[in-house]
Amino acid sequence: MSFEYSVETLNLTKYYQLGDTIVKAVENVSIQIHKGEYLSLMGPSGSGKTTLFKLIGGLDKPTRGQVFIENIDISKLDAYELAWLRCRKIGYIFQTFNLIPILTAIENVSLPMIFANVPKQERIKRARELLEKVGLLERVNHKPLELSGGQQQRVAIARALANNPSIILADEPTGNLDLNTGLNITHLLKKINRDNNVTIFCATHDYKILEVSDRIVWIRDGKIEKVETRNYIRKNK
Amino acid sequence: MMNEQVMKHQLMKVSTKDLLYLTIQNMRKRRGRILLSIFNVFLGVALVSSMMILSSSYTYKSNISLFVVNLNEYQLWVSIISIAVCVITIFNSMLISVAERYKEIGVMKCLGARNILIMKLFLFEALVIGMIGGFIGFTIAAIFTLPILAIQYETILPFIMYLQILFVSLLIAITISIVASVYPARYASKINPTDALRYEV
Ligand SMILES: Nc1ncnc2c1ncn2[C@@H]1O[C@H](COP(=O)(O)OP(=O)(O)O)[C@@H](O)[C@H]1O
Ligand SMILES: [Mg+2]
Repeated sequence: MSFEYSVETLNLTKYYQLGDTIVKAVENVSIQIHKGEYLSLMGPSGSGKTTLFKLIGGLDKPTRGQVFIENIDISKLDAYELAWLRCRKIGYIFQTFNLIPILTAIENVSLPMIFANVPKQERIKRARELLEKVGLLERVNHKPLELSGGQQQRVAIARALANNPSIILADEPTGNLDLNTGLNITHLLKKINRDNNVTIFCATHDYKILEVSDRIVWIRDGKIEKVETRNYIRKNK
Repeated sequence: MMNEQVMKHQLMKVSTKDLLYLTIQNMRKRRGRILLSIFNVFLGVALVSSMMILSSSYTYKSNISLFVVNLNEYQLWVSIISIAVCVITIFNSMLISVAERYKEIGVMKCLGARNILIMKLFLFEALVIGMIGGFIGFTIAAIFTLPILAIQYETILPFIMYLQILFVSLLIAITISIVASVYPARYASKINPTDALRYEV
């Protein structure tokens, strides 16, 4: 399969109706993300980052505009194909980790592989490898509540990688972590981006994340304010 | 739309074995509520099976070794009411379980779980609850009716009749449990992942 962009949005718009008022959460957002790129989405709280991610991941339908994942217009997909996309193509990382509390680390990482019908032996083997990759091999049988925030986010990253996705959507992955832990997570994401050639789209308002990004999209009130490349940022530091 | 070959190659049908694995895992980890549901099925079924056992002693005495439901009007009403109570309690407990797992279901959908899988998870749980509850209910009924049969009717039922009653009891228990869970399971499968993850920030 050949495609031009890993993710492309065209005039993507999402309005919410709240009583009499219309909230323009995302408005006319057009971005192109290359395969293997690390793109950061910077914007204050309420600027539309989460909404944009929901639209790209096919979790919500846009008011207007289109999303293409590897040239496929996701509005044309049926429920089965959308589930397939979420299972195989896209890995999610959330600000609040969202691990399943009753499952251990390795069970959490295995879960998306169950959905993808990977045989048990293979599942366990791969989950262990992934947990090793994120540095949690000695915590495989711990439940989320027995892990620190940073460790939980590492499990979530391993889970996002379970089915070898080509795109990772990370919605403020360091938002609930202290500075140092957040930095470690950021570097882990960068390492995954480099090693696996995964496209990473990461929402943040943490300036520390800028140094690992190839490009930064600034969003405000649902609109793109500016797009900067890494070289530009370096020069102007 | 999507590359058909790729889709077929990576069929996302979760095997029954994995489904059972997920169900058992969930049940093991939420033992309290599950035990309550099982207890509930077992009470209802114990009552109904013991009445079936007692009433079938008539048919046995008249030399028919096939079990025939032979409840009098009073017994029939008690059975119907106890089954109805059972359905309502399990329905309630399943709805609570869905509410408890609301966010979890949202996450699972984000990770690519299909609606049908979520639905099957709850129905499988109901199936297991029904089977265990039904079996225990029948066993208790069989044991407790033994002295009554012996003293009052001066008889013991043949094994084959017990087997027949066990079969009917299990059927009733599973039906109760599944019927009560259809709506909660459907409701769970329709949960919108964005609503479930709404309380993020
Ligand atoms: N489901 C919803 N219903 C109504 N308004 C919403 C909903 N989700 C988000 N919004 C509004 O849309 C705007 C963007 O929200 P969000 O995408 O969550 O921003 P961010 O993730 O950048 O903090 C906010 O003003 C928010 O209140
Ligand atoms: Mg947000």
